Amino acid sequence: MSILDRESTVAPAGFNRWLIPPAALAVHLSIGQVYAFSVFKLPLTRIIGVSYSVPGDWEQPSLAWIFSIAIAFLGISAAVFGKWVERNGPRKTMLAAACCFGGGFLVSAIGVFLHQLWIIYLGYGVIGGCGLGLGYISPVSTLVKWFPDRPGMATGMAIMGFGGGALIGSNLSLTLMDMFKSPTSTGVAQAFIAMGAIYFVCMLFGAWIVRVPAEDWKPAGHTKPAAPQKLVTTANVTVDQAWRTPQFWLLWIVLCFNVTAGIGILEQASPMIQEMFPAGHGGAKGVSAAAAGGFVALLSLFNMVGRFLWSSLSDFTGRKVVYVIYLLLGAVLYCLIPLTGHTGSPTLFVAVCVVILSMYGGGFATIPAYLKDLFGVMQVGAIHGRLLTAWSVAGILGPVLINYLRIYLQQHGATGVSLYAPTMYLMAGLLVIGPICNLLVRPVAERFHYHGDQDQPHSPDDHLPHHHRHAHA
Amino acid sequence: MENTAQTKGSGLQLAIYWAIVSLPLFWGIWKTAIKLPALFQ
Repeated sequence: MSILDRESTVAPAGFNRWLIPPAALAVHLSIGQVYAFSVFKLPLTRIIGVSYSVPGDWEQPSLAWIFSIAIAFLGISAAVFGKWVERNGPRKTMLAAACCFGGGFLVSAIGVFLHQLWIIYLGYGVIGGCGLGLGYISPVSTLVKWFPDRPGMATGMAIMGFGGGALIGSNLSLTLMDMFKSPTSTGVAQAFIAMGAIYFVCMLFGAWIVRVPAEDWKPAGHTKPAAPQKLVTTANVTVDQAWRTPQFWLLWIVLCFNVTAGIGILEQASPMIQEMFPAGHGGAKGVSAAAAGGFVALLSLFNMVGRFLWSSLSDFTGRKVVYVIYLLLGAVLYCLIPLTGHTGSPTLFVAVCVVILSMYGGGFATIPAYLKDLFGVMQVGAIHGRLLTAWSVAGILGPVLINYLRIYLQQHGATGVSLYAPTMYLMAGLLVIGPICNLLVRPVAERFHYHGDQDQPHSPDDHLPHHHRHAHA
Repeated sequence: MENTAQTKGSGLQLAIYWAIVSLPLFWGIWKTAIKLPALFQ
């Protein structure tokens, strides 16, 4: 038995489960760097010219594909390797994620040295993207198993790390590029090498300390509620059955539209606040580029904090209620954004946006707990992986919708608030579809439940006695 | 198995693990938070 096998990671009796969240955070704080990749965009357009772009240097639209490919491969790898993750356990998966994510940086550094963009697409996009997918789902499913009494709080903690990773990643990237830059180099390649090594070590730390609970483990004092909530199942559903259920696809739409709408703010935060509140607007002095930078920072903070707070709240309110809040309140707030522009109040605008971004993060963090409620804990990681394809689609759908609508409006002479109002109403419309899908979610029909005599599940619970599978979910 | 005695992870081990992941996060939050005053000027 290898130390990487699932069996080697089973925690001994009396193991303190609060030692597990740091393992999840070590991975998510690392891979969350992907949200900060944009800080490399400008330096990557100056690899040849160094201080400014010259003919032959890469252009921004080509570079934008690096992030898109990485997010697409996050979803694809999470969906494809979900069952492998459940079968092999978190340690092997985290090691694979560390190799892919760290290795992706090293391959990208070669791409910068050789000035071959396709090598960066392959390195950070494809290889790094697979590291993102594996790293994202593995700790989440492990934490759900350790915290069956508080799954929302547990997944909120891990996925908050993904939001926090962007805060670390952006500042670390800038610090390293500043350290390595010279009159003949932007320092990007060297920063890639350093970050590959740093993130590899951090993720390895997570792989080293992670443990899974023993099959019959349950937290002290945790008993199955006498009258369980309506949606919370006492059975398990395999991943192959789960995606045949309407519940899976209803949640897929909810996640897809929630993410698409959130990207509506994230994608254009900095230009939006500057163009909606220009100098002279109502006698005001306008919002400067530095203030817009502060606004983006504030959004990142609320995106991170919202992941933990909203998801923890869902343990008390139930998942369905909290998603109704995200989607309906979100739709109302999106409609209010143009109004804040008309009133000329940046403070009100900022207040509305930070609440929206907190719910955007909350939507990501609460979904694994919602899946656990509906499909049980047995293959929740694999099911979560399949659901993340919604993120890949939203990652393409959101920017495409926003950018094309913006170009169209610009061509028709729109400026200021009117340049953004239609986008906000479109996002509100998407969010209104979400609650309808959410309210249609019902408990999973019994014919989809795992009874041990159908689809061979690939999980540590394979050998559990039949009655136990129903009892411990 | 009722896991009533969650004592094997020592307090020191908990403190070290949490410090390792919290310190970089606080550094990132602090570096981000110092950009905020510009928003309110």
